[in-house]
Amino acid sequence: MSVRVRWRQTLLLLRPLVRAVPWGPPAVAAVLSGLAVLPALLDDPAPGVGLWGLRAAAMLFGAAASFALVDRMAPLTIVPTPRWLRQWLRLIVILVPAAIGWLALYAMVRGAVGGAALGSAGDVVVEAAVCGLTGLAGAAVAARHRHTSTAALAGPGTQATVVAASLFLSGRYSPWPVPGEPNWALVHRYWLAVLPVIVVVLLLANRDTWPLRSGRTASPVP
Amino acid sequence: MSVTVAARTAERSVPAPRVATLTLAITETRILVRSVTLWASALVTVALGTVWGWTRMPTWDTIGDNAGMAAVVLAGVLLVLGHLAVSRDHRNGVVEATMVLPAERARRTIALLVFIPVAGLLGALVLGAQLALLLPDVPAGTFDGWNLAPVVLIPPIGAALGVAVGRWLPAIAAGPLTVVTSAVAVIVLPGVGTGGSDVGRWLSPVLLRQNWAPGAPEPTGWHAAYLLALLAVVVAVAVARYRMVVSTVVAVVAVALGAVAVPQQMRHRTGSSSLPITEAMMDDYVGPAVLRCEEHEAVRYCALPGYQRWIPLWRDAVEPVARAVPAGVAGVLPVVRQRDTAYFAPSATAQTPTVDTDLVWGRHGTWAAQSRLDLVQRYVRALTALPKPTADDPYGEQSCSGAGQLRTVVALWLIAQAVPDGRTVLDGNQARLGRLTAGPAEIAAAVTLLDQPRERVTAILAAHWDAVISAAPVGDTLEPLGVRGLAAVGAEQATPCR
Repeated sequence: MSVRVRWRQTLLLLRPLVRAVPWGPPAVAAVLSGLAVLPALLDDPAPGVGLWGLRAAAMLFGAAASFALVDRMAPLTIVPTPRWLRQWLRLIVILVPAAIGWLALYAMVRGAVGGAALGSAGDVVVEAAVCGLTGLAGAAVAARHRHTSTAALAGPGTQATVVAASLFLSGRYSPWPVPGEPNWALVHRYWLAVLPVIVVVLLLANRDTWPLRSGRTASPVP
Repeated sequence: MSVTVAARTAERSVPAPRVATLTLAITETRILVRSVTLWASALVTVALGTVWGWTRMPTWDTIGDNAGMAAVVLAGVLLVLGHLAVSRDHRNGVVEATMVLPAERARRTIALLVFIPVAGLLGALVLGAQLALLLPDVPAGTFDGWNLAPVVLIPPIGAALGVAVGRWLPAIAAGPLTVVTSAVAVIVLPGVGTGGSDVGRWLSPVLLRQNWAPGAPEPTGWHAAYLLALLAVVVAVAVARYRMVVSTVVAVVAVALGAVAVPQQMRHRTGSSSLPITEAMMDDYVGPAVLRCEEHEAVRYCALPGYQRWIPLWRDAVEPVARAVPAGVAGVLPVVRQRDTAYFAPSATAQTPTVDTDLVWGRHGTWAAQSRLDLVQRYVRALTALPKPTADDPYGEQSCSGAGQLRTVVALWLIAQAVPDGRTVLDGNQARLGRLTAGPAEIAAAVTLLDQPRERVTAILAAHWDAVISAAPVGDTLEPLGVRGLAAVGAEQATPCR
């Protein structure tokens, strides 16, 4: 299938996908994220409050975006577009506004508390990307096997499991340092190392559900 | 006749509303306790509380903090499970089907409140498991049951919140989003409130606040009352959709209770941030009158109430030192006294030399070994009268050289022979002599002594004890033990200790 055909399919799919994706959870997540960073925007916040607010915002956006990845009609519909294209489009449709929302909050918090209280922009963005995409990856894996509405709970479930696991690491082993702590740089190298792992999980989870050879028409009939 | 029989049969076969609700509650409990997620989270909760307390000997204060915070994880999972249970009638297109069932939504919601006692029991269970995993160590300090109440009250609040949110917002995303929002609240709350008002702390589920003095009363009972009020408000929200009057009454009573409990916690009292703590105020809780003292092998140990069970740990550290010094020659052996060093710098000398130990003692492996080494070092420093921190340098940061002095070598040896891995401590230069610093020559001399039988070294010390507790040079005192050629440091190299 040529790139041109895929591109045309993408353009055709975008509008129905934007309508199909649930927008309620991300909207609520946006409001709650705003509340989470609010203490940092007020006068004289305690140190680390802004960073914790942004971490929570990334978790919220990731948890809410997970609900977009479950295609409840998938087992019933036979379509000419491959699954990977539909799933990645679903992900992009939800991820772009979520990322814009988070970056807007980041800009606001940075404006209020200054860059030094947040750590380097790259580190914080990587951390937030991992927090958010962990949920999406969990939901993407679940969406591969189940098509019920509860399948998306695997997204927040994965986030919660990973956070609970991180609580076992305390002190200098904690993956949640605040700027100025000596382990900040090392911990953020680990955060960066996790990011490709999540992308690989997404790539694997968004594959087609049956083996396909390139150049053949997608068909569920062997 | 036949009509009567039919009516009676119908009477028997239709259960009373109360029975139906109870049956529903039992069924929901069965479904809940079969949930793998629930038991996995209970395991994680127990593991978290255990891991957080792994490196320190348990006290009732640390148990309250660790078990309480771990219970928040359990509460989060119960929130999602409660939400899923109550929103079950909205999923998979069964809204219409469930509307014609005899058990209407109101009854199903009320039946689901059974999650609250189940969650409370589960909280008690994870607390019990954490206490059992501490064995054979038993928590020290003053037992305050109210301080443990959050462990039993937080999971029910989570479950009730799940039911309440699910009744009003049955969308599946509402559950996890409520969990994240609650987590943010738990993290942010302790930082809310500036200056004298630390209202956020008192609104947090777990107080996470060390008593201003060990054993001093904290408003933990009022905090438990606040948590109960919170639980009642959440329950009222859950049933408000169907029982408006009852839930309004419950909510009003609960808010009234909260309105009493929160200010009672914040009330100006000793130890609240609005009243400064003086040493005189501490006396009631850590002063000589409350100390529980025991004497073992000529050493007196004074523990704060509830900490007597740590005396064997202190004895393990102190007795090898006490046995190595010549009996009768060294005078009265220093008293080991527990005090809260988090608030005050080590005490000045009293009539009897005193060695302070605090409210923290390591547990397991290196943490236990470090606590033991610390006490050994403090005891040896007091016993050999090493230079104390001065008034203008209370933490002993200005060092002086003990090179070539007898007391330096003896102190290093006393420390090394009192701990199991003494040779490693010496080789790694880990022995701390306060302001006094030792060089490689003194460490080598101490290693030489370590290879000798302890009785021989003690016998020689008995003959020269006055030299040990002064700044006298080693000279030929230790020659019979193979130590010779230790030169005193010149004034041009470092300040010698006087």
